[in-house]
Amino acid sequence: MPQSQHAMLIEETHDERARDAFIASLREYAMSEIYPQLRKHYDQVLAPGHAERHGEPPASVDRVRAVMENSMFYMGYSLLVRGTQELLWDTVGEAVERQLPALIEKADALRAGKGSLTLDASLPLPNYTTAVDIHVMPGGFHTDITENDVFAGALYDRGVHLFAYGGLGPLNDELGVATAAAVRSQFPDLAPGRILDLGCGAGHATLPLAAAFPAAEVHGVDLGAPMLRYASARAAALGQAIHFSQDDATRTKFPDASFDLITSTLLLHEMPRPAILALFRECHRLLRPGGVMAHHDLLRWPDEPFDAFMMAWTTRHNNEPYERASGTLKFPADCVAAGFDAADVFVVAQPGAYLEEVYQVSGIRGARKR
Amino acid sequence: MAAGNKRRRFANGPRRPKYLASVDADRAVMMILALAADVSALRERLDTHERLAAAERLPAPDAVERYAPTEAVAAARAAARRAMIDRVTRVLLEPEPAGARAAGEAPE
Repeated sequence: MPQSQHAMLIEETHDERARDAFIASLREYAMSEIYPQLRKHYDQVLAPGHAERHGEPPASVDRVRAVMENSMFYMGYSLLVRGTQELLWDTVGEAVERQLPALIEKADALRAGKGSLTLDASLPLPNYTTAVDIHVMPGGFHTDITENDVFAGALYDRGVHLFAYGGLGPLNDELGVATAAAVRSQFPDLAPGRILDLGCGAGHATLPLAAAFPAAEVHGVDLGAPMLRYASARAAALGQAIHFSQDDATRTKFPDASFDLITSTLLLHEMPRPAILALFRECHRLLRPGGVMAHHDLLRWPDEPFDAFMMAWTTRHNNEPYERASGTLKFPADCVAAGFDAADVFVVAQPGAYLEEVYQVSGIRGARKR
Repeated sequence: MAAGNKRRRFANGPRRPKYLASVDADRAVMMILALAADVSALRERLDTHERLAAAERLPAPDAVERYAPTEAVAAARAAARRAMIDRVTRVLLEPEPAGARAAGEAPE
């Protein structure tokens, strides 16, 4: 599915488009053709081989790891996916770098329209963000490479589309659309006046909230300045008035009881557990009575050793070291610890919204404040 | 902060895991992937030339850049990429045969 052109999306030459298409094809091949074969190969060859030698199939994640990391098929697959990931960012990065001055100029002009952008150069960036470039994306979401930089945002907008081989939709917004729909169906009486999207990145999940709740004032916060500069220009290019600000989702600058709906999409799985718990407490502080927090992410972590091992692939190979924390949150206990009532916690499974071969266990969950 | 518009080309974080028998083998495979992306782009450029020629248009650089494949052409190109990936990755993705001890697994 081709990506919808908008004023901030990079323009690419014939050959850049062709290289992108090859990388998306590599991703699709690895995830939709090879990944399912790994399970079959494990069941039919590797686990029986282990049983023959040790009297039982691998009974723990460590035993599965020992078997898999000695499998040339699995290691070849892993190298293919890791290599494709590095190639993806470098290929798109070359195209972004080539047109960066023009993109910055365009962003500055677009931003003069609707919405707002508030940056805070003095905001301390948590170590869990700066120590590891998530997704092996050079510079992560926070590194400025020039004045008024939009590089990270432009890179991510095109890159994530190729990563998902189009599966996030022409505007990379299908997860945000699902989040908004889940909130609407779960809380039909909710008519939010103010909405906050945490870890909004390029705004892929922020804009669908504005579309679903057209009467609301919509805000997005993120740690990364180059993401926010890009997001604000992209929102303006797509005709949405969104207020973006650079802030830490675990301790924002907003006063108590500022919002009726607070969301995040694919944010929690990039945060360590203490930060997630702080984020829940911050949601409780920021919500008005009757307000809702809704987080779109992993709902659980598999128990079965092979599934648990494969689920952890991104932890080791894609620089996502905290992924397990979001899958092993305690619901409702972790919400209760943040101030919510156990009776007000909700879960909406949304399997297959994204990379369904891998993420069978994703969905939207959160709580409503009394 | 400003680094003259130059992007970083390597990510911060833990060292790249080792996949094959040596990190040099891994590096060679990753170079082959990059090269394959360029070969695929070259194929598509040649395809664009041929399709312009079939339409009796000159394949001047501008015409190549402006060429927009139809859905049928895009599907044919996707199939060609898929077939090329299948050929290039065959050896990398070779499954162990049933009964074979996984490479490197210590004998009891």
